[in-house]
Amino acid sequence: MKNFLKLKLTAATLLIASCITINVYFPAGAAEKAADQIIDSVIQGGGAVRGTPQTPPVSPPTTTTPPTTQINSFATQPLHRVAASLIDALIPRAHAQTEMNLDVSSPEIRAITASMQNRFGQLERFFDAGVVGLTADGLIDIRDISAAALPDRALIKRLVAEDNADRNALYDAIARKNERPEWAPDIRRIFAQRWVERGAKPGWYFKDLDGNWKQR
Amino acid sequence: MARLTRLSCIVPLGFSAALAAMPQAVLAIDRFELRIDRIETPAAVLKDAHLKVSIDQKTATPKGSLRIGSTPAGPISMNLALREAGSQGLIFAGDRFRFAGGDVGFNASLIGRRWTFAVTASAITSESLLELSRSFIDIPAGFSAQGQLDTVLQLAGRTTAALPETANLEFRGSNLGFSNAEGSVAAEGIDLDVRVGLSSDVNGKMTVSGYLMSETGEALLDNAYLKLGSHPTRIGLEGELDANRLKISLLEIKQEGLISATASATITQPKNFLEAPLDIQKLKVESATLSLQELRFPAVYTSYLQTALAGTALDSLESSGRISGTLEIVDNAPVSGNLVLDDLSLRDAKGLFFVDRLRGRINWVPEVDEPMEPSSLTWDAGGLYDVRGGASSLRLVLRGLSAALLEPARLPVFDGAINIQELRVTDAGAPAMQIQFTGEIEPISMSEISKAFGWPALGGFVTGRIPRVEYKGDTLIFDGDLEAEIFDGIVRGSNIKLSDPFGRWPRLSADLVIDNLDLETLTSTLEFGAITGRIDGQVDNLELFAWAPVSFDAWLRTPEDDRSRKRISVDAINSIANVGGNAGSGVASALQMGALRFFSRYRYRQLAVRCVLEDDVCQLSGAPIANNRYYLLEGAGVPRVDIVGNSGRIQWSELLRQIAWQIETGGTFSIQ
Repeated sequence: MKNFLKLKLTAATLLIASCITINVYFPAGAAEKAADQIIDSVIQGGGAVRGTPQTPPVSPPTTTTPPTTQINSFATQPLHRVAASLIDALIPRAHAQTEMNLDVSSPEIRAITASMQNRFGQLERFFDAGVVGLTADGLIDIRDISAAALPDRALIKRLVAEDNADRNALYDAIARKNERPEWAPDIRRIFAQRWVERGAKPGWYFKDLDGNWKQR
Repeated sequence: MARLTRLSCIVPLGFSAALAAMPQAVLAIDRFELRIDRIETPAAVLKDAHLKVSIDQKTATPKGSLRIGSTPAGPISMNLALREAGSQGLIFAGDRFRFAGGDVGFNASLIGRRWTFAVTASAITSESLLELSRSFIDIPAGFSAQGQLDTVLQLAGRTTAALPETANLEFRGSNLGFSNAEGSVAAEGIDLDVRVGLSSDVNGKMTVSGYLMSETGEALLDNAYLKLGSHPTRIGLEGELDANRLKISLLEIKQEGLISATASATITQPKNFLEAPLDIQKLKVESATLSLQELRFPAVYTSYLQTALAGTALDSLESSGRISGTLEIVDNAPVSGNLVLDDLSLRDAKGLFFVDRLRGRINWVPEVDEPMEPSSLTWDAGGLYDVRGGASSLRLVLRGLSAALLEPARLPVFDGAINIQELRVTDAGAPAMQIQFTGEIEPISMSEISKAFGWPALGGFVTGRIPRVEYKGDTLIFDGDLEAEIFDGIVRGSNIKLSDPFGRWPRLSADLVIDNLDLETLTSTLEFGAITGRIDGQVDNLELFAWAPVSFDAWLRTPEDDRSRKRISVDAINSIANVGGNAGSGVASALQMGALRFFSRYRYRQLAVRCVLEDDVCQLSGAPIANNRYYLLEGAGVPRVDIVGNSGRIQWSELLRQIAWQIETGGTFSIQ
């Protein structure tokens, strides 16, 4: 009986000890949500990236200290104090996103996303035609250049080179924002997955892990 | 099974031997039949050949038929007629027959020891021609061709020689196309006119001359895209072929509006050119001289260069001008070259750089330790990012992948200059590329710089020293501090790094120290309102991403030991109060009321503002007082004006907009 109790206690201790273990893990679930938002925003070219603080209109302050202007007449008061609240537009703090551990809110990420949005319209028809496809490491690649007319082939090469430069910069910027450079490969992997699952239209091509082209 | 004599790769010569054997046989008998299972020639393997000849009793003329069951381009079935030409001659003609998708006719003659052979074919398919060519040229699998060609082949020779004395080949076709398996080499709608003539002497040495012309269609050769309609092309060749050595005395390439070039070369390959298919990879250029008479921009850039440069800093250039030059090659490697630039103007569509009317001569040798001619360049104007400069020139030395300035150069910039003391590039274009640069700034007025960068007009000058700059690992690193004298003070940048400087997303990081700037000079040209006194400051961990600030910790404050007159005008107080969106109407009007209206300026003890920028939000503060309050302006004396704020956060982009508005208009800012 005693032994059994000891065993239970030991087990309980071990269990507690394992719960306390501190582990920095890659938040895959949150990363998927973040990737989805960025992908949506690139494709729809206008959807807001969540996490951006809303730009408040400049307006009289809504918060605590209204501007005060106190003037005492020259004769009675040596000290004149003009208090003006410089900060009127107190923005609401970014809501604590408790379930979202991957921060994709930074001016860099927004700038890169905007660049990808601008290009997407041109790339879309080449995805549709099977000329380009998505790769397993979050980039894009030429699958069949002969499906494109001769004059377009040079343009396609340029678009692919530019988009890949943006994509690489994006994954780097996300890792940098979260101060976790070691997350970069995982971020890529999640984006690659979500591009296929969410970003790709039926009929688009993507490369599987063995490097073979598959069609959605 | 018969194996005919060894043949040149150009001519199915076996006919001459067969013809030599035939006449007697034909004349002596009234029927002749020959079956050959297999004929191997370098051109093709023919199988199941059946020749029937008989003498027409009435006319005493031989006639017959020739059927070949299998050739690379399908079976052949034709009728033949032979007739005598004098006592020593024989003429051999065939009716037109279907072959290779088109109509073929041929005739041959043997008179004394001289023979001729001619084939004319119309509308044969490119696919068949491709098949037939595979024995002459190693064509990769997956290569396809479309379209029809007319062709004429004429050969003549003597029965005493193994090779024909002369050979002429003509191709003409329109709406041709071809493509390799990957689609990287392709053409559509091409018209083609090709003529090649060969003649050989008794020793087996051959002279070649020919041309190729095309004026319609489009072609893609990896990264080069050509519209032949815009650039009719003519390529001409004169040369000599001697066993395994090809001596090109003239190769001429003319593409209208694009290129005009000539070349001469001696090329060898391991095997005799006439005995084995051409293997491009085994060719060796023993010596060659390429001479570019003219390369025209923008056509050369858009057709040949732009796609190859995709993704680099040079991939969206507008260009004009011309280049000419020469290149010497020995043993497959270039040994010297030069380029002459004639009013070459380049402008990056992304605004990264431009240069107007670049002229000069660039001399190049590979990495050898020999004295050489320096290169010199002159231009009318140039710029990098928004920094623009005027006419200048420099002299440099190029060797291998390195370039170095021969002497310091002065580049005028706005109304001042940048003096380059040292500029050296090694391993140009490679990932290991290194750039070293040292220079200094001759005074440039701030009003010019402000105009160029779109800032509100600032007063004063910039001058200073640029420390050694190194480029390594795609990052420009400033080895030392960049100091600029400005507004009678100094701004010093340290730990400056610019990563991805030529790419899409350059990132600049630096720490700045602002030392004793004169506010009067700074505010004198602004509508902000006058402030006198000095200002110190620092910007720690400044990060610019694509040239926009994304994070920093910035302080501006009055120096502690500043003994100068510190005055601030009503307008400036108004401006500061306005920034932040408070209409501030109360401030300005209150200050004008009553006795205060006699004061246009107020004394102050200190100015202080701090902004910590992170994720587009600026955390503002100043000289702390208590309870989250701070002075932006701490007044002094009587009457005294303070500007006090609450610690708060403001959208960075919004703050910039308000400051800019205030600086430019100085008015009362209000948004309903």
